Amino acid sequence: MDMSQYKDLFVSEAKEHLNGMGEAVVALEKDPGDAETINTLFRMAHSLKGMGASMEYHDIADLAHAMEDLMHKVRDGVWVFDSCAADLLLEGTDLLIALVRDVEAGGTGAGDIADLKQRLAAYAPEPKIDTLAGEPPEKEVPPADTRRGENGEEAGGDDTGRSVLREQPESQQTVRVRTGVLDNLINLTGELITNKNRMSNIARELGSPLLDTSIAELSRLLRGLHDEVLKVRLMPFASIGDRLPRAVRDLAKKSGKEVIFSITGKEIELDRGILEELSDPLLHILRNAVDHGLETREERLAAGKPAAGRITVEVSRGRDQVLITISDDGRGMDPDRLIAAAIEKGLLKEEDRGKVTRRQALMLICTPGFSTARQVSDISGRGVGMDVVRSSLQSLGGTLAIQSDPGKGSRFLLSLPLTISIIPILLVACSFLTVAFPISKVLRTIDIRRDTVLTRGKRRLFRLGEHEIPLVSLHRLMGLPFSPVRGASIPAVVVEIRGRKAALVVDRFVGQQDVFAKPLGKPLNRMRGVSGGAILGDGQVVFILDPSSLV
Amino acid sequence: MSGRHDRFLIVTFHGERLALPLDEIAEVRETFRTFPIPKAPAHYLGAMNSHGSPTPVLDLAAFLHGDSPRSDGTLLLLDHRIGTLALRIDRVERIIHAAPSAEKAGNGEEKTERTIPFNEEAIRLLDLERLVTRLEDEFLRGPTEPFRSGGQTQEDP
Repeated sequence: MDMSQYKDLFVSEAKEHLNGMGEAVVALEKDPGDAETINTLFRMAHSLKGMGASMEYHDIADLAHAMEDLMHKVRDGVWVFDSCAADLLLEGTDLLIALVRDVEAGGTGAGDIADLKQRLAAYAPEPKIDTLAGEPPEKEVPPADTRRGENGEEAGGDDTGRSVLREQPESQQTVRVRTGVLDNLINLTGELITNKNRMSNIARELGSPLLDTSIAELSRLLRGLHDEVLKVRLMPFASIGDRLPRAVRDLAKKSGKEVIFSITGKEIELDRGILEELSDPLLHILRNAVDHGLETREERLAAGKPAAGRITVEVSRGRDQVLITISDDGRGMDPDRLIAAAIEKGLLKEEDRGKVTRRQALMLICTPGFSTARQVSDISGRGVGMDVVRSSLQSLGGTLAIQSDPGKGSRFLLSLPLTISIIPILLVACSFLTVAFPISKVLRTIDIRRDTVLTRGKRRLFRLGEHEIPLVSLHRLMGLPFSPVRGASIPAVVVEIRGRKAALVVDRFVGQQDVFAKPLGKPLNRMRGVSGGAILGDGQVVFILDPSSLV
Repeated sequence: MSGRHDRFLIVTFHGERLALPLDEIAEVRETFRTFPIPKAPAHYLGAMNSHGSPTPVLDLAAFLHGDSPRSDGTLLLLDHRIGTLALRIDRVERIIHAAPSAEKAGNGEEKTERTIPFNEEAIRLLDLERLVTRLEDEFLRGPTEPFRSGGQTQEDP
């Protein structure tokens, strides 16, 4: 029988199981007696074995079977789950991931599994030198979930029957959809919105009440379609978050540090496009936290802290933003030391030392070429830096903020939009150029009275509340010919550039609208200060500026 | 560039002929309307709406030979695998089947180049991937001259 048509489904389901297995192993290492997790891990290995066998991927089936055997002994209380078992099972998970990737790439899913299979089969835990009191473990592994059969499959008892019946409606209501189809759906919805905007322009010119009514109805329907399509694209943070405990565990082992890691808010949903791009920045921040943020066990004990460092990832949802906070209780960062390092590297002038706020000093670590790591380790200090983390977030329409207290720890606050494709923008005109700002990046718009503008040397400022905000010419930033602003007031867009508020002076405000923001392809994707483009209702092409990277 | 191309587009610009791999060209257009690109060098005529995507229009003669940018002529839209870019040339002459020469020392802006035999001529084959890489590098280096390109909205000619 030709099974190739089921290959994509196999790969997709196998990856889900393997992600779950990695997470379960790490969880069991923390709480070896957690019967539910033991059963979950057993069931996933069992399912993978069955899937591999039915698709005739024999090495996948055999390796999963060896892992299932080990878990069988743990589940039956013969062995207690220990860190050696965790290492073996994680090694198995990694090898299975490699085999599944081989299948995905068109291979046979075959690999060198003999050695690991043999080690899994030969594994036996060290005789347990138990508890301080020398008593047998209090927490015996309870029998498997009574709703499951011996091998983890659904049993046929009454209770199980009800359970299956309860689960059926959900399984019938969900289908797997290729991610490409979801991308096409949002693209088509965006094009429809662009065309609706075009029709609105034409309707205004024609002055037809009937057409106006029809377009208003079309707008309502499109809003509904847009909302539904966005919902379809949403995925829980768990889709990337489930891999983090494993990653932190490996990093901790490598650095010889003890780490207690936790995640909250894994159920919160974000656009899959954002989640795909978020994985690397998150891992980089976590690497830094383990490698540089947390002290060694000895340093922590000397500082009166618990031996194990704590790293947490908290995901929470605001009105139209998702906030991801990565915290550690490590050594924290000293703003004065960061400023000194920036001056030493020529990234900051000596005369600016006193002008840098605490917040700006912490953001210095996001400056290209900045690193205070005394030595490069193989965990971090190589590869992407915090500058890449920040620019990745900015390209997603998000922001990064850093809080830190020396001796107490650091917090990295990532703020992200729920969706990326269709965004509200502010259009402004500068000479012959019309450009857009994402509304999320605009702190406010203002018409500054000319007689309130202050002069400090070569700089012009205006007072907004208690703050003096510099005026920056958008003409100059765009490389446009100088064009003096006439009139009693100066229109400006207040934005944040590298942690400081600035008022970008424009010729005039054009208006606001929702647009389908398109990423720029090669070569325009290399333009600094521009995050994307859009087509307006009249067919005009506008570019969307990213204020934080304009200067 | 690999030797897999066997069909080439022969185009004229700046009074010379140039060959382009046909499978790297997605579309040929005779009319276009552009809008200004912020901070773009002068050899860009602006950006056009190509099937809903903002697409920069590069005047090939202005880029390669420093000619004054022109908004007439023909546009070649590159395949998206190569880049999101349209090239303004004078005109498309014809499509030919040919075997490109081996890589050899270049006479123009590239260190090496290949040629295509056509009417007893050896026509330079433009390496589009290299071209896009050069344009990317240009943006990475930042603006080197005042903004001029796409300064006015150009209507369909």
